[in-house]
Amino acid sequence: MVAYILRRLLQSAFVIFGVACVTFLVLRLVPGDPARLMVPPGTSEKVVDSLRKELGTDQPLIVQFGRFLGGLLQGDLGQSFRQGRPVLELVLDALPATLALASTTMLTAVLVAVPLGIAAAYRSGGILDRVILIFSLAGQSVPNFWLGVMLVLVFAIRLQWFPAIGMGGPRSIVLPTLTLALILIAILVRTVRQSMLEALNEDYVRTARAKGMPETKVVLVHALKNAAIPLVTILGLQVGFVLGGAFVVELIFDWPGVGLLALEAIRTRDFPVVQGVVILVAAVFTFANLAVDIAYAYLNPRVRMGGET
Amino acid sequence: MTTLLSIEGLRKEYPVRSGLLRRTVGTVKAVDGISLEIKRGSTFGLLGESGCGKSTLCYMILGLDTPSAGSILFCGKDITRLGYRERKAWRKDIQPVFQDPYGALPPRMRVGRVLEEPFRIHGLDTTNRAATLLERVNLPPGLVDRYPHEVSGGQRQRVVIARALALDPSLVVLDEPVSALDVSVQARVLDLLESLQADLELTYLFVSHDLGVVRYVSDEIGVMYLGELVERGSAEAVYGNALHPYTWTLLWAMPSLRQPHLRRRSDQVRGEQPSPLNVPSGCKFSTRCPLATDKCREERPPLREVMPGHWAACHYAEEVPRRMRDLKSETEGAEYEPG
Amino acid sequence: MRELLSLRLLARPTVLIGLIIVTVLLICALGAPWIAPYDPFASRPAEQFLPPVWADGGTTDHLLGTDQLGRDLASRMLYGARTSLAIAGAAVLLSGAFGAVVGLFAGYFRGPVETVIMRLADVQLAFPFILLALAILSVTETKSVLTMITVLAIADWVIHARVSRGRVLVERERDYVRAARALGSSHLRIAFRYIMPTVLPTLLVIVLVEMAVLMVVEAILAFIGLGIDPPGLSWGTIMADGRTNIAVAPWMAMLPGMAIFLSVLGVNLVADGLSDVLNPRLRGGGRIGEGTAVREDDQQTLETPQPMMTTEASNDAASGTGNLLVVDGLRVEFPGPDGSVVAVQDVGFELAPGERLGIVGESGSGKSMTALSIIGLIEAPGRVTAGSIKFKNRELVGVPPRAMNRIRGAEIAMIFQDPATSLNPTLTVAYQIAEVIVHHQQVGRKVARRKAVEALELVNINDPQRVAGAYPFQLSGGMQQRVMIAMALSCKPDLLIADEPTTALDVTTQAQILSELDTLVQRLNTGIILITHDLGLIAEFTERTVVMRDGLVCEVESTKEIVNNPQHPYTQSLLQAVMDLNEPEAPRSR
Repeated sequence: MVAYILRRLLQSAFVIFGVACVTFLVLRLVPGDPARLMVPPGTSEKVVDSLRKELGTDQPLIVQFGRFLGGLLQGDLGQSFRQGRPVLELVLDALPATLALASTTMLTAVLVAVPLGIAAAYRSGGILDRVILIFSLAGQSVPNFWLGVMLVLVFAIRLQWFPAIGMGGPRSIVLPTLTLALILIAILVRTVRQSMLEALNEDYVRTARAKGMPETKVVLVHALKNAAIPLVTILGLQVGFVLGGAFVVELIFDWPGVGLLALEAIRTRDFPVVQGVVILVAAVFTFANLAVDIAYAYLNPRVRMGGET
Repeated sequence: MTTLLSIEGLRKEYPVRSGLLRRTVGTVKAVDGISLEIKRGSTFGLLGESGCGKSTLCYMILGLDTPSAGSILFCGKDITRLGYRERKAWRKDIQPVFQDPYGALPPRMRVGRVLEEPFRIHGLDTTNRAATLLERVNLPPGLVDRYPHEVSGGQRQRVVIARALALDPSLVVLDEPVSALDVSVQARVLDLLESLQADLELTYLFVSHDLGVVRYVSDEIGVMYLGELVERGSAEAVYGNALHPYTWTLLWAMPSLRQPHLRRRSDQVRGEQPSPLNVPSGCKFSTRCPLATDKCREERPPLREVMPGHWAACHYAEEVPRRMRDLKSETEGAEYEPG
Repeated sequence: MRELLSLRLLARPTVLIGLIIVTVLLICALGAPWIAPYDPFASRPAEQFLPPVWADGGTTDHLLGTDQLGRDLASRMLYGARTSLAIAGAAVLLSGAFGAVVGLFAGYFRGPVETVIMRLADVQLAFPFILLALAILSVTETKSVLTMITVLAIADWVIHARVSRGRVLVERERDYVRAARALGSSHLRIAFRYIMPTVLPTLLVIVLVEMAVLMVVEAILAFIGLGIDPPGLSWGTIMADGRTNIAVAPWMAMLPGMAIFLSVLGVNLVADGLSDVLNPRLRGGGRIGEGTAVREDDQQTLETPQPMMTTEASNDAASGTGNLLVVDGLRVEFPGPDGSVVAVQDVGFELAPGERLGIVGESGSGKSMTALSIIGLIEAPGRVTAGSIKFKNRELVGVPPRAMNRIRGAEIAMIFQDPATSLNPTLTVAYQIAEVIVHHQQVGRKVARRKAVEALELVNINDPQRVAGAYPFQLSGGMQQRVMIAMALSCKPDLLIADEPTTALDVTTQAQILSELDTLVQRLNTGIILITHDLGLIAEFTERTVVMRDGLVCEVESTKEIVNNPQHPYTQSLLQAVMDLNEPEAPRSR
C-alpha cells in the first residue's frame, strides 16, 4: 500500500507541474498582446512598451517561463496587475469561501445521494427507483446557472426566506449550496445505483443469499463494501465538477470566493490573478483526488495488502 | 516422414517488477527450455494444465510473441528472426484455432466477411471463398449472413476452423479447441478435424488439458508442467506406460466410467501447482510428487530418452510405472461403494 | 442489427419523448429563417421589455416577449438554437473523432505513445472542465463561433480518449485479434477494422451525452461573459442579457434556460435509451422473485410433452414421507419480451436422507435452474410456475424469502462453480463463515469465530488460523473451494447442493476436493445433490443419477444402471461420447 501511495504522490506532483506549465503556455501563446489588451484602445506605443517591460512580456518566452517556474517553487505566483498585491495573497484570501461552499455541497450531496441510490438499487424497477431515475435525469440536464437564478427568484425574491447575494450568516450558504448540490445529487444517485446494481449481480451476493443472510445484510454489507470502492473514485471526480460549478454560483450569488475573484480578473484583464486561480484550483482538485486514492487503497483489500499496485 | 516443425531450447521469460520504481525483482519463465519435433501429416498432442505455458508456446510458434531464447524451425527455416514481409508470407502456413469460439470471432463482423478476411489481407480474390470454406466444415452456406452471436457454439468453432484453413496452411495450432463445447459436440468436431487432416494433408499441434481428448487425436504426446516438457513419446507409450509421475496424475484424472475410483488416486499428489513466480528448486514437480526424494529437490532431472522414442524428465523414470500403480487413494477400499 | 436497435429504442416511452424533443429542436434550429416571425437583430426601442403572452401586458405580437432592445425573444431563441446546436454539435464531433482515434492508438499500441497521451490527459483532467475553457477564452480577443467550437473541443477530447482506450484495452486481448495477426493482418487494419467497431456503440452514447454537456457549457460561458461576441446569438448570450435585467424582465433569463433544460433533457433521454439497448441494463439487483404460490386449483394442465422416460425411482426410494426431498412436476419460466423462456419444463425426482444424487446434463439442460429452485434462488423475473418441492415434508414453493432465509445455510446449503468470484473479496474468510453461524445458531461472535476455525480444520486446511484471517484473493483456487465447503457445512445442513464444484479447479485439486467432500458428507450424513456435465464424476461419486436435457428428465436410475445399462437414447449417446474419448478398450464409434 505504501508503494501505491508514494507512486500516486509522485504522479500528483507531476500533474500539478504540468498544470502550471499548461496554464502558463495558454495564457501566453494565445494570439494577442496582454499589454495592449489591458490598456484602452488608442494608447500610445510608448506607454504600452513600458507596460510590457513592467509585465515582463517583452522577454523571450523561455525567460518568462524560467522566471515563472522559479517563482512557483518559492510559492510566488506573481503580482496582480490591478491590485498591486501578491497573487497568492489574493487567492488565499478568497479560497476559504469557495472551500466552504464546496464542502457543504459535497457533504449534502453524499448524505442524500448515497442512501437514495442504495434504495433505488435495492428496489430496482419499483416506484422509488423510477422516480429517482426521472429526477436524476432531469437534474443532470438542468444548467446550474439557470437553477441558481430560479432559486433566487423563488426563494429570495418571492418568498424572502434566504438572502439573494453575499456571504453573511448561515442562511446565506443555503441557496448557493442547493444550486450546486441538487445537480450533484442527481448525478450521484445514478452512479451509486449503478455501482450497487453491479455489486448485487455478482456471484458473492448469490453466495450470501444461499447462506440465508437477510436481505438488508446482503445489501448493506456484502454489496456496499464492494460498491464503495469504485464510488470513492467517482466522488473524487465530482470534486472537480463542484469546483467548476462554484465559479458560476459565486457570480450569481456574489459569493466572495476564488471564482468571483477570477471572473473579476478576467473582466479587468488581470492575467496573473487568472493564472494563479487556475493553478491553485487545479492543485486543490489534484489533492482531493490524491486523498480519494488513499481512501481507495484503504478500502480495497488487494491494494491494502500490497497484492496489487 | 519429414519434420515440419522443430523447436530447440525455446524460452520465454517475463520480468517481474515491484516497488516504487518498478524495479525488476525476478523473472517468470513461462516457457523454460522446450525442444520437440513434429512430423509432417501427424498430430502432436501437448498436454498440460492452465499455467504450464502451453498458450505462450503456441503464440511463439504462431509468430505472435518473440522468444527470449531458442529457435523454431519451420520446414528447416528459423522463423523467429524474420522481417515483417517474410513473416507475413510464412503466416499463411501456420494458422490457429483457439479455445473460446466467441472471442475468436470479431463480434460485429458477419461470418461471411470473417471468412473473406484472410484473402483480403493477402490481396487475393474473394469470390465464393466463404461458401467453399463453410462447405468444407459441413456448415450450411446460409451462415454467411449471420453474426457470431447468432450461431451455436459448435457451429462457431467450425467457422473458426474454416478460417484457419482459408490460406491452405501446412500446420494448424489448436489451443483447447473443444474445451468449451459440450461432450456430445466435442466428438463430432474432433472427427471433423481428423477427416480434414486426411483430406488436406494437415499437421496438427493439439494443445489441451484433457488427456482423453488428446489421446483421441494424437500420434505423439508431450506433457508440459510449469514451462517444461516432462514427458514425450508416442501416444500408446505415454498412455500405456507413462514414465513421469505427473503424467500419471493426469491419467487418473480422466473420467473413467469403468473404474471410477481411479480419479481419487490423484489425491496422492499433494498441494497445488506452485505459482510461476515461486518455482521450486530441483525438479519442479518435487513439491507434490509422491515419489520425491532429496535428490529430486536438489537436482533438476533432464529430459532423457528412457526408452527408444520415449523421453521423461525424472530421476526414477524406469520405476515410475510400477510404483505409481501400487499407490492407493486414501479413501479407496473404504466402505463406500457407488451404486 | 440497426433495425433491431431502432425498434427496441422506440418502444420505450422515455426515448420517444426524448426523440420528439430533439426533433422539435432540430426543426426550430434548421427552420429558423422560415419560422421566426421577426428579424432577431431588429431592435424596436418602443417595444422593449414586453412580457410573454401569458403574463400581464403581453401581446400575441411577441409570444415570448421582447428584450431590452425590443427585439423579439421568440425569434432570437429560434436563431439562438441554431448557434447553440451548431457549436455543441461541431465541437463534440471534432473532439469525439479526435479522442476516439487517439484513445485507440493509446490503447492498442501502448508503450511510450500511451504514456505520453495518458499523462497529457491526466494534466488536462486536473482542470475542472469549465476552468480550461475559461482560461483560454480569457485571452482570446475575438470569440467567433469557430473559436468557441475549438475551445470546447479542446476541453472535451480527453473523455472520449479515455473511454475509447478503456474499451480497446479489453478488446485487444481477445482471440480474434490474435487470429487476425496470425493471418498476417497489419496493426492498423486490426485497430480500425476489428476493434473500432466494437468501441463505436459506447462512443456514440458518450458523444450524445457530451453534446448535451457542451450545450450547457457554452451557455454557462456566455452567461459569465465569455460567450461569442455580439452580434453572435446563442441561448447563452440571451441569458447573459437576461442576467443584467433580471429584476425588470425575469422571462429573459427563464425562457432560454428552460429551452436549454428541455433540449439537454431530450438528448439525455435518447442517450440513456441507447445506452440501455447497447449494454442491457443489469437485471433487478439479482433479487429473488417473491415465492410463487401455486395452489392445486390454480394449476393449469400444462402442455408439456411427456417426459421421455417414466421414472422407476419409486422402487429405490423409500415411501414419500421418509424422503428428504421430493421434487415433482417442477417448471421454471423466465418471462421476456418475446414470450416466456422455459428453463425447466417438468422435472421430478426424490432424495433420501444422506443419499447422493447426481444431476447430469449438458449446457441448457436446466440442471442449474433446478438446483436454484430447490434453494429458492431463482432470480427475478424468473419464477417457479408449476410443481412442488417438498423438503422434509414441507412445501418450499411459495415460501416467502424471509422464511427461506432460515432454511438456507442451516438446512439446505449450496456451493458454486467458481470459488474466486463466489467469495466476497472485501470480507475475511473468518467473517464469511462466522456470519452463517451467528445468524443460524444465535451464538456470539467469539464463539462463531472459533467454530469457523474448526470448520476450516474439517476441510483439511493445514493452517486454519492464518486462512481464517485472510482475504479470498490471498488463497489458491483449491483453498477457496474448501472455504466454500466449510462455509456450507458449518451449520450441518441436511442437504448440500453442489453445482459443478470442481470444474474451475485444476485436475489434481479436483481429486483432493472430491475426496474431502466424500469424507465429510459421509461423516455428517448430509444428502448431496451433485450437478455436473461430467459423467465420470457421476460414476464416481453418486448413488443415483438424474439425466436431464432441455428442461426435462430423460432418465432417473441408480448410477450403476445408468452407466452400465442406459435405457434412454440420450443417455446412451452421452455415454458413448464419453467412452469414445476416455476408454481405450472400448471400440471407437465412427
